Amino acid sequence: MSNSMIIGQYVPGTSLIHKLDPRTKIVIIFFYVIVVFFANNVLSYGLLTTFVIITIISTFIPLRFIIKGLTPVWFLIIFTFLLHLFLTKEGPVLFEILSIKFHLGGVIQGLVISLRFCLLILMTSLLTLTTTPIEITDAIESLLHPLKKVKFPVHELALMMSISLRFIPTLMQETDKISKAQASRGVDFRTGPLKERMKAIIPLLVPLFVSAFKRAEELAMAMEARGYQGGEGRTKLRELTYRKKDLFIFILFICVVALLIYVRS
Amino acid sequence: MNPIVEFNNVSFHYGEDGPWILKNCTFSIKGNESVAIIGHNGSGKSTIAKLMNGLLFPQEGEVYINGKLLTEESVWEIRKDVGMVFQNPDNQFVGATVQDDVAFGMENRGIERKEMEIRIEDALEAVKMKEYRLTEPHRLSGGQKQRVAIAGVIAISPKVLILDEATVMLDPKGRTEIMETIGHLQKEKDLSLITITHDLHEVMKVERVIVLNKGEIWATGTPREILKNGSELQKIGLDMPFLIELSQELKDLGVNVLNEPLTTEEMLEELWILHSKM
Amino acid sequence: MDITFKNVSYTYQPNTPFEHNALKNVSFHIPSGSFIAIIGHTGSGKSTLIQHLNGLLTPTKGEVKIGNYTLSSEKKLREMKELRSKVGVVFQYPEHQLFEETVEKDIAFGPENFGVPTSTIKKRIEEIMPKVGLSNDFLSRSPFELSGGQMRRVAIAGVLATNPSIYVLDEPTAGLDPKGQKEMMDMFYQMHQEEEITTILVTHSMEDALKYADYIIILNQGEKYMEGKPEEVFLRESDIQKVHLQVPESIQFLKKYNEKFGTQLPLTRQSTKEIAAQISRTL
Repeated sequence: MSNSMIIGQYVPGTSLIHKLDPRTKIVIIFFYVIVVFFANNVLSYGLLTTFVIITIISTFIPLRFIIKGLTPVWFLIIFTFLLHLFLTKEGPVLFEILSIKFHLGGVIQGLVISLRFCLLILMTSLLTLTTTPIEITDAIESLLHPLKKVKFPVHELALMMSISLRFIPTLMQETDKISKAQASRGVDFRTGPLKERMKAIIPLLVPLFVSAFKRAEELAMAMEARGYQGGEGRTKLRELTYRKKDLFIFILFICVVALLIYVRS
Repeated sequence: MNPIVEFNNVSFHYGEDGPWILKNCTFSIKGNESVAIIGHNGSGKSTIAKLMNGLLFPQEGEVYINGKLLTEESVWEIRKDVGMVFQNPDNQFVGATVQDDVAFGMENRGIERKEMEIRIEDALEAVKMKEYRLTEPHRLSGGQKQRVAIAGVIAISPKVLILDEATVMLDPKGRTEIMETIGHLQKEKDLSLITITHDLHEVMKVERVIVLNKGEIWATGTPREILKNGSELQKIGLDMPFLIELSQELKDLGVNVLNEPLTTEEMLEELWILHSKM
Repeated sequence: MDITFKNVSYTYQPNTPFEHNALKNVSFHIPSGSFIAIIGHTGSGKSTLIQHLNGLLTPTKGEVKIGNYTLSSEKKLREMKELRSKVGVVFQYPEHQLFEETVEKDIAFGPENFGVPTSTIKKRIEEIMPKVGLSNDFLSRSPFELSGGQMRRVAIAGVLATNPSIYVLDEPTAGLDPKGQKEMMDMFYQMHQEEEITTILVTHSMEDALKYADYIIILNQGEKYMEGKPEEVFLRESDIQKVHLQVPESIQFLKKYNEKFGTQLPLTRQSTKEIAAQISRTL
């Protein structure tokens, strides 16, 4: 049912984090990602972890949504942990299984790298959890605005992104419709050897492309009829404005960074 | 009063040597007039709409909008006067939400943000979609999307609103919604309305009808004048309303219904008069 | 093949915040060889209902029987492909499902999937083309260079080519002009008459329901709201208006005529010509 479709991971809410200017969120996350690599002792990691945990709590988003955001990367986290466990040969030997020695250094290294990974992913998924895709698009357009001077097509890029977002549900419905029509003509998308299933995708893809092109053509015509001539001289209804809370969060973040530099060894 | 739309011997074909889609069409539409252009699929009726705002240019003849000749230079000026709603509700919805979509045309024309807010409010009020201001398109029905499209057009206050088969893809409920919206706009706003359709129920509500057949103007007249040629309309791929068919069948049986009744009440009245004479 | 719905309910995304009951306890029986119209607004559950007819959906509760095939949540149907070969579904705007290089290949796609031998398919295509009103010259052309109406006929031919015993038609005339609509409906009606194929028509057009169907089922918000022969159903005008549907114009007119003239003209499915004759007799 189309009504229940969620695009991206956005979880609606009214928390402070939800209400921040999306640019604030993007900029802070950008610097957070860099700052994570400055941490080098228990205190500094503790500080960064506390920061993420406090942010998560203040979004009021149920924990299961946040854990769901981690699911695709669990494998990677465990894999890196094991890699370090096996390959780092530093510090005293902790235990030995099947004549493979496990060192304390390996355990610590594995834990640290996994933690860093978790922090990065949690922080970035907090952006998509609390910000609608269209807000992110607006923020990117605004942040990239200076690049207009070097002829970078900022407006076109943003328009492309927002139209793609707008058509995701439409194309999903279309995919569902066409796959049902072809299933009624005897196509089996679910069972059979892989080669057959790959072949079954053609009767789905061709009509999807045909219809997407037709939509694009009609949309272009409708946009032209509505006076669209490119970004020149255009005004915008959606306007991003920094507020006091953005300033507050920025200052808070700078304090965290300063504290981090102070506590790192 | 000067015509708002004027076609002067307009002919059109696609490509280099495609067949003529429109042949020698001449007609004009006055300010504030409501007109229906009807014809079978492929009669050229949608081409006429696209010629009115320069989505297409004629090979022969001239198109004037509000006194201006349509050329490559004047096309952007002309588009300010001509708003258009297309057939597929999905393929003309640009914005992420209802208000963004209504704003799109205004943004293109560089209208100030404050002014936009006011006009969005008014336009959504006019199509009765105010409470959906922040709704995303995939949560709207086809009829609602089309009403948003109409709001987007009236927000730029054009002189002409063209509905290019805007109800074809809607269910009866959506169709009624659009018809009501249009009826409302006709009364409230200062603009000409051009409906391109093959639904004869929509035809009954306009002041004048232009019938197209195979790219040529086949007839023009009031709905009553056009609809009374019921069987002729049927021959060129259109419908015949039930009451028109009934009066023709009655005439064939020697019951002479006068005055071409278009509504059930008119028909009953006619029959009552005949009844009392007998 | 007979079709029976027994207390069928269908829920989309059960146990989530988006849970939606699209069908609620719907039961009916369609005898083999009949022509049924299913009427209701968008969101009334029509499209969910027809997806049960060839197993695209399986009821959350209750049971659907199509001939000897049974669909229920308890047991998965093994012969799904067989069922789908016997129920030909023409979806809304079926031209959107075309994908092959030529019309002939596209029509053959369905029967090939169901394992029909090539020679039989060839024979069937020859029979079907005139039925859908297309000449054999079309067979070698690309479906994408045809007009909208022609594409729709090709798509319908593709469904007919599987030789189904049941036709399911989901608004097959949407987007066509009046002449195209009439031709399309007459075509299906003729095939129904000649081959006695069970036909289920989903439509918004009360006029079509009155003209073609033996039996009407009206759905409203996932529930069966009314059912019966067209002439019975349309007598209950106020009930029909309650769910924002309209009684066909001819019936509305006859009713008012009877009131005004104190006559007893029958409200059945007589043609306009017959109505005219009846009126002239009473005058």
